[in-house]
Amino acid sequence: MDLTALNPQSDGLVDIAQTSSVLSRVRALVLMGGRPGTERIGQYPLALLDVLGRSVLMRTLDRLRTAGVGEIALLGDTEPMAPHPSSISCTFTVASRECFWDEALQQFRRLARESECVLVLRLGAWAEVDYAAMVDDFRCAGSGPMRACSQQGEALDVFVISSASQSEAAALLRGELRDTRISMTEHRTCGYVNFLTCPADLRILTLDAFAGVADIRPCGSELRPGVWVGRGARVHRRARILAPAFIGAFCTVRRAAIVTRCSSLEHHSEVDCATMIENSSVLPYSRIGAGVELECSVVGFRQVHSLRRNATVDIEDPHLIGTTSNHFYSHAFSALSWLLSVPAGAFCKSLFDSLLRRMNRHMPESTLSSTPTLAESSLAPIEPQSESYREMATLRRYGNQ
Amino acid sequence: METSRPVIVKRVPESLNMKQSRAFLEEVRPLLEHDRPQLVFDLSQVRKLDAAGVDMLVYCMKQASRRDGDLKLASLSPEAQVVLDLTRTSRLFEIYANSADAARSFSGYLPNMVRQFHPESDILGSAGRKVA
Repeated sequence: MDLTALNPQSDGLVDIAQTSSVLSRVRALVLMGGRPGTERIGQYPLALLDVLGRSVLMRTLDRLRTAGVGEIALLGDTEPMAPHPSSISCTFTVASRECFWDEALQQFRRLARESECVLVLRLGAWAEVDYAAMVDDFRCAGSGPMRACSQQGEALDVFVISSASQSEAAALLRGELRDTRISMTEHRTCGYVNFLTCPADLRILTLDAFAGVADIRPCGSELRPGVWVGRGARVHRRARILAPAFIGAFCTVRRAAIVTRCSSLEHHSEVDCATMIENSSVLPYSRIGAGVELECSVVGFRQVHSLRRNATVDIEDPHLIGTTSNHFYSHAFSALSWLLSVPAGAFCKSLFDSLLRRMNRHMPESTLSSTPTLAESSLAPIEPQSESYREMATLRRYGNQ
Repeated sequence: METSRPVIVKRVPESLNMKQSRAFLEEVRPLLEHDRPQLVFDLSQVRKLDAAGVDMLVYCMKQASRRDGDLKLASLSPEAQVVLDLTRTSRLFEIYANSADAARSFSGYLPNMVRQFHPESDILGSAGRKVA
């Protein structure tokens, strides 16, 4: 459906109120997982991992909400990381892998009770489908489920099923959305599609988002052109962030680190001193050790996916790749260890000072006494040459502040 | 011209963490103490490599260089390659696709150099003709 046709005077802008009315009697069922596949890093599906500050799942839910879908039900086989999907008013259910598709069918039946049709999405791929246009096509087509396809004709796991077509929905969901015997009409979308089948796809999605090809905006404030920083992020003044780059919320970039060439650090990640992050994605809660060079990689959950070498390597050494924690106890432990280190530091300092004093005592007198010139200069009070000197000193002090 | 000194190819174990690096270093220490040692480490079986393992490799290369020898790496597994890239040490070593190439490289340098400065070689001969 051409959205500009809804409001000819809108100059191409989408009339959200009118779109909402189009989809108000449509419900959405978002499925996450359910199939053993390669679309995971560690135990997390790629759709749950952040891309420039927000996960594909949350961005998909945002798109559905913006399109005006009445009710959204989310079914997953993994508990998602924060922010929880329930924060944007959708029901969330976790089902085990065995009963995932039976639970999906139950959810479909529940949603179909009070709706005209149900949008069924499986993540997943990041597909910028115009849901309003798809539903409009479905209404025109008449009966039978409709499936979205990319511009190249590749089938996407995005369906519109009529609430009356219970048997077709059951066949489709029990067949894990792979049943090809059901006749379906196709809706070809011209939006951006990334199938997110491997970590390389996640990196490509990040690059496309930076390039503006995908409709994904970084979550954070743009401090400099092309450099986005999330809230609570800490970047050392000696660190270098070269645009385009994204520093997620509560990230830490330490001294002499370099983040460059479309690199993204997702929330709560940490880059240690003198580390270089180049053309890489650092996933949430990851810690990159000091002096490491990360290039063309996706890093997270103690794994490095080298896109150049086409290899996935588990790293057990926390000095190279580790994890950070947002847990209360870890913060308490680090604070305690710092507190304990203060008396130890003071003890070392007092020991060092006493040693220095003892060494000075044994030094010959000549080395301890200063030369007459130095003595004179040290005795002579330093007086400002003029009033301007005082002003300069004041300016300098404020400049430092 | 072939060197008379042997090239020793040593296979690195599957896991190279702190403990196993020490054990491996004790194994290769006598080889490093030869005069001008020529060593090739085959890393095809390495699956786990950490900072201690990388440190051990750099130490071995340093010891070999100190005695006017060299250490070369061969048949790197993807895991070893990624860790060497991460730690910026891949540029310190000469890395070969297989051990045979690495062993051959020890004898390949000198003859080429000699050939370049040989008066009857094709390069100088052709140049001489052009000048004339």
